[in-house]
Amino acid sequence: MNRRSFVQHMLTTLAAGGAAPSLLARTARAAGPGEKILVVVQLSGGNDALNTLVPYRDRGYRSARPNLAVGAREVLDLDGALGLHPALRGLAAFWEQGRLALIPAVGYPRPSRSHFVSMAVWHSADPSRKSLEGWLGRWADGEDDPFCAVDLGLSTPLALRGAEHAGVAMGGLDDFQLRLPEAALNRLESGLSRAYTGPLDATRKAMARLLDDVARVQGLRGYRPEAEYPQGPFGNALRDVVRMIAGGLTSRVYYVALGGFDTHAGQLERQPELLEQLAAGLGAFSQDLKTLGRENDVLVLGFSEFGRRVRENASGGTDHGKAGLMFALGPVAGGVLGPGYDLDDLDDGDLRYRVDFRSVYAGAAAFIGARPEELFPEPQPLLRLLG
Amino acid sequence: MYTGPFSPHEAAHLLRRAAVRGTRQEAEALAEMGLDRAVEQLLRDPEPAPEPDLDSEARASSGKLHRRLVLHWLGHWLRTDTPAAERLTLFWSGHFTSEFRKVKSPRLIWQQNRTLRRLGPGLFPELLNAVARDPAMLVYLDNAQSRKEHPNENWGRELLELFTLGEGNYGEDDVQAAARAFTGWSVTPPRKARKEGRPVSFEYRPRWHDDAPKTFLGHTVQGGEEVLEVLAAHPQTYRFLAGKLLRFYLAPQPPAALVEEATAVLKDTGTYGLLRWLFTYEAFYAPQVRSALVKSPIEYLVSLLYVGRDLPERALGRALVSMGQVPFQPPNVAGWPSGQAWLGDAALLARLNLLPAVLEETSDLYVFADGARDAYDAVLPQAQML
Repeated sequence: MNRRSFVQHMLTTLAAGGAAPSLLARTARAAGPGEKILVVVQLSGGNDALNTLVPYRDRGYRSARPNLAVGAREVLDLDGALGLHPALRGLAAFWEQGRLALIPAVGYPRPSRSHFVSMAVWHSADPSRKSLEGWLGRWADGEDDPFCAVDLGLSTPLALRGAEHAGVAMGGLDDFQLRLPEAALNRLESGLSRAYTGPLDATRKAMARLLDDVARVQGLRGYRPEAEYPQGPFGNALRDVVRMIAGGLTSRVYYVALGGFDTHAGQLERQPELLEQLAAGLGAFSQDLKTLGRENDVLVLGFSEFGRRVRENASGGTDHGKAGLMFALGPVAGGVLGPGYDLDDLDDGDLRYRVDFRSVYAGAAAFIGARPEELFPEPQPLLRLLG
Repeated sequence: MYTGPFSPHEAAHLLRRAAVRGTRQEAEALAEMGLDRAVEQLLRDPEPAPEPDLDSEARASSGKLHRRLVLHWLGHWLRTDTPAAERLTLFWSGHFTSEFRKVKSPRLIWQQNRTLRRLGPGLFPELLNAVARDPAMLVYLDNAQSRKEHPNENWGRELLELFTLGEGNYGEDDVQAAARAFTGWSVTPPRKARKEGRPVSFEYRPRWHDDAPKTFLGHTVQGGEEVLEVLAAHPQTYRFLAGKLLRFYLAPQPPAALVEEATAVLKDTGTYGLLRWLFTYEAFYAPQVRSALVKSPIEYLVSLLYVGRDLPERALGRALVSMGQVPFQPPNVAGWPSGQAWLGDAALLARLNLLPAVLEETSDLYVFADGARDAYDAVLPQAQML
């Protein structure tokens, strides 16, 4: 059901004085204080796990990376064996407070080194690649409110696409309004009630939905975040998420991306820049959540489509690999979770996965009250992600 | 072979698909010519684009130079007598991708665009060979730095996955064999080129090349040329490309039998050969095919500006960013998405909000939106479609 017919349906139900539609009950409680919210952070391009959470004492690591290894003097030591890349200094405080979980060697069976294939697997949570729906899209299908998931980009990612509902793609909060003359608006309204078929009808639905979503977001712009976000789309997106949370938007899932991690060359310049942006953005976001008193209601879950090859290449970079690093920030079981890296047992030069990403997703899904077994093709054991 | 009427109604559809831009008068003129001559007229040899001015300010920022290239290309698309070549160039630039943010050289990016325009209409092997030696591509997919000690797999992998066979038609060892075969395919070091006052161009470095024999898709090969030969002779290459071309020019899900037919046409007669065949094909004029493709943002902007007022440069750049497609800057090596993926809330909002600045009440939307009666029809669903 699209938003328009759904709103009409709701109005008829109310007018007929029928039984209270479940929608009202669920919308009213959605995302209010105490209501749990998941923010997914996608590091696009394949973040190099080994130079993010660094096994800096490991000989295999150091010898595979004569030029790229992060040394013992530079890392922010966590436990005597693993350390954070110095560009992640902004996350150190969360580690101290037990609010940061790091999950190394995460992947899935029969891994692909293709960006697109691997990204599709992570989005659909289906390594067999048969599913056309995203893991959170399946959750959205079970919700009455299609505004339950918001993407801070220009088009809804697969992860948020379900069979019935797809998350709302909203470039930015301030620009999310329609500026057309009255006559054009009238023509638009009348055009949307015409009968179309095929792709043209899909376009009509997209337009109808836009009108509904724009109406929905009016009045959310009042809150001015206090923290300082890094410049650029990633910082802006997190800032908008805080504003939507503060404004009481009913969304329970937000999706944010930071791109540029495909460091085949020049990794020493590029990756630290990105990690610094990541840490600065998450730091500001957490600070604002704290001000709002919502820091325990919001879980940030980070992933990348794969980690990179253990051995560096001749271009000062690393090629596509397999298992990678996930992280979670918020009311989590802080620490390094899972069995960790094993650099003595590589899969064709790549980290072998030792934690299935779905067992991490499961914890995040449970956080927003979803039932993991309804979201993934195969049920997975739950990694204890939450504190 | 299409035998139905070829009135301005059908000509408008042909114009949308072939060239994106058009007016009622142009549709009428094509209809007047009859189908065959209209198709010939549209598919004439591409008019070369003028050279962009990249030198006038020595210190222009890279963002500024990128914007200048974008405006230069779209300006050419709006003015040229062979706009069909520009839509095809857009297709190839979404296929043989290169990102400005990585290549960083406006000159190399433009050189690639010129190559795609010049060779895009012809036979595929010639285009593929040129792209494999294209400096922007060699820099973009890191092959310029690939040497036998540590072959860089980026180009080898995308060559198979995205540019020729498609995923599932090769193995990991083929990727590695291709990467080894292409070691030493590099470019002039930029510093050397500057010193000698010549452009950065393709340069083969024998000392970087791994000259051992490799097994690639069952063939024994040594160098990159042979890898390209194997791919250019492979039926799957043409099947993969024909399917992609039909999705770009015909419908989101072309029937498998039609793809098979197109595969042979593409291999034998090249890309314009395929388009000539398609534009005179019965199925191309079927009602369910009309307005079945979503205009990409670049296509939307070109078709709109052609019948509307000019936009200030900055507004134009912003519009492309907020609609989600900037020339020379695909989101990743797989190129741009298509179809409904263009119509997320944010992007659709940007499309609609652009209209008041560009259109006038008297603007001619006959080609811009199927069946348009006046300029207000620009807000209807069909205005988003080709």
